[in-house]
Amino acid sequence: MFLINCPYCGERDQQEFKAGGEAHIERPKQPTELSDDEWAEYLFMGKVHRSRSRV
Amino acid sequence: MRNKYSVFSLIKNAISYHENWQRAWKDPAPKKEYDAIIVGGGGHGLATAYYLAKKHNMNNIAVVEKGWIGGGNTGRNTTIIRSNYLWDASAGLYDHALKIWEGLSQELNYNVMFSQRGVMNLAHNLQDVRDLKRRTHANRLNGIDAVYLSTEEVKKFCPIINTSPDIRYPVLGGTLQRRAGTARHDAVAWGYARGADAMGVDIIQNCEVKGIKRNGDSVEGIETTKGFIKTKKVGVVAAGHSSVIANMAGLRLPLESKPLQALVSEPVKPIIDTVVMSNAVHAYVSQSDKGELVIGAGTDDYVSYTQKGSHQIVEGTLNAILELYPIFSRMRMLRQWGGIVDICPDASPILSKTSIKGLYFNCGWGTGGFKATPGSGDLFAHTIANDEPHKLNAAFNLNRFVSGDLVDEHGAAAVAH
Ligand SMILES: Cc1cc2nc3c(=O)[nH]c(=O)nc-3n(C[C@H](O)[C@H](O)[C@H](O)COP(=O)(O)OP(=O)(O)OC[C@H]3O[C@@H](n4cnc5c(N)ncnc54)[C@H](O)[C@@H]3O)c2cc1C
Repeated sequence: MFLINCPYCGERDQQEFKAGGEAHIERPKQPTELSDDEWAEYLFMGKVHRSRSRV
Repeated sequence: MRNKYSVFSLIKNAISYHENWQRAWKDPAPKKEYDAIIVGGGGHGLATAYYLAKKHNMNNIAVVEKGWIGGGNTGRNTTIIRSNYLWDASAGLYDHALKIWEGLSQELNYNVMFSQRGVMNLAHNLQDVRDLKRRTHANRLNGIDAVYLSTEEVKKFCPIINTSPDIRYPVLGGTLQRRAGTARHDAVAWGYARGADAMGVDIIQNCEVKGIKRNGDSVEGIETTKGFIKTKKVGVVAAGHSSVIANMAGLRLPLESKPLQALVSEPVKPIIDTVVMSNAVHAYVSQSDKGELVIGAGTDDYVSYTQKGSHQIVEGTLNAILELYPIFSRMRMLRQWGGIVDICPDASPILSKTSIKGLYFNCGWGTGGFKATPGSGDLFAHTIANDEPHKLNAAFNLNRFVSGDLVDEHGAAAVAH
């Protein structure tokens, strides 16, 4: 196990520092008004492609 | 003419010191135009081309591969083949493949070393026990061979497993599919390539697809590192790079690409004659014909395209392996590698038309598509040739992410295969 020193909570497992994915996706403000396509977009269609994931 | 492999050809070539074997497939330059192009020369892409030529008389076609054929996940996987999935749609899909595996070496005149040594899935907690029993019943209703084993029966079937009740993840039982097993991964790619080539398919290696040319809503051709190639039908079978290629056509797919790892030990005498998998502790093991233990680990939990994977994943897997098989405690590991797997939200594949006419995707097999190679090629060829899915892959369309008709196989797929 690889431990990383966190300035706030001391030595922690490397796993806790992993990239969490697209954290900036906003939950729909008016869920009841969403179409099926918009739900699919929100739930499943990540913007992940082979490049920097946040610019 | 393609010479047949047989004991006589072996003797004949032995006399000439194996220097005169015929090439298994040619190395052509791309033509200007094809009736269809398959992007990705893994097992699934090559099988698709083979069945397009064989069953649908489409011989003016090509497979375009950026590296060498079988160098993607096809050549990196732990080769476990089984069909004991939960839902009817998946049972139909995976068992269709398993039935083709059973006659594949004969059909291809190429030994894919398919070995029905059985696959056992272990249960380590009460929920595992319930889930595996439910899956056994579901399998049997679908005509798939499956039995539920008690702890004692697990031990009898694979005596080196530690079934003592005081280990961290005790073995509470398991399932067994006897028709399941393993095959030789490269041979599958090579056998299909040789078969497709003999029917006139061009297999073009070291040729990366860089763009997909559209005219409005239809496909016109592909841009590659060997120039533009015209075609009206493109079937993309690019595993972890599927979304990269979808982006070239202005499409998005519900996939996440992550590294999945495997490792092999030094070769030893026969010690385990079946495949044992455990979803709960992310460890599975079999023994190759060379004698190496073939061990599969888990995926990294973040998106990445680096074909290696993180160290702590291997560490976790080996902890579990050591507890389940104390006899392996002094084994030395020889090699470790990763492949980029394309994971779908419902852990089921996509074999589908798209909103663009002439563009088809076969992807989302994630951590477990090797087992489906022959069936996937057969059904995808049908979908491309008829511009309509076969009834066995109709449920695996792209629209299910909008309609909500997901085929949730996380239990049967998980990270184990
Ligand atoms: C470590 C590991 C263990 C696994 N274990 C199992 C298992 O035990 N059982 C099981 O059933 N499955 C397993 N899998 C999953 C299985 O390997 C895959 O689902 C399956 O092999 C996918 O086959 P494919 O032909 O679709 O993909 P690949 O073999 O990856 O072929 C895709 C090809 O597309 C090419 N390509 C990509 N981009 C381009 C481009 N732009 N232009 C041209 N070509 C391109 C790539 O070079 C590649 O050769 C495992 C995977 C890994 C990584």
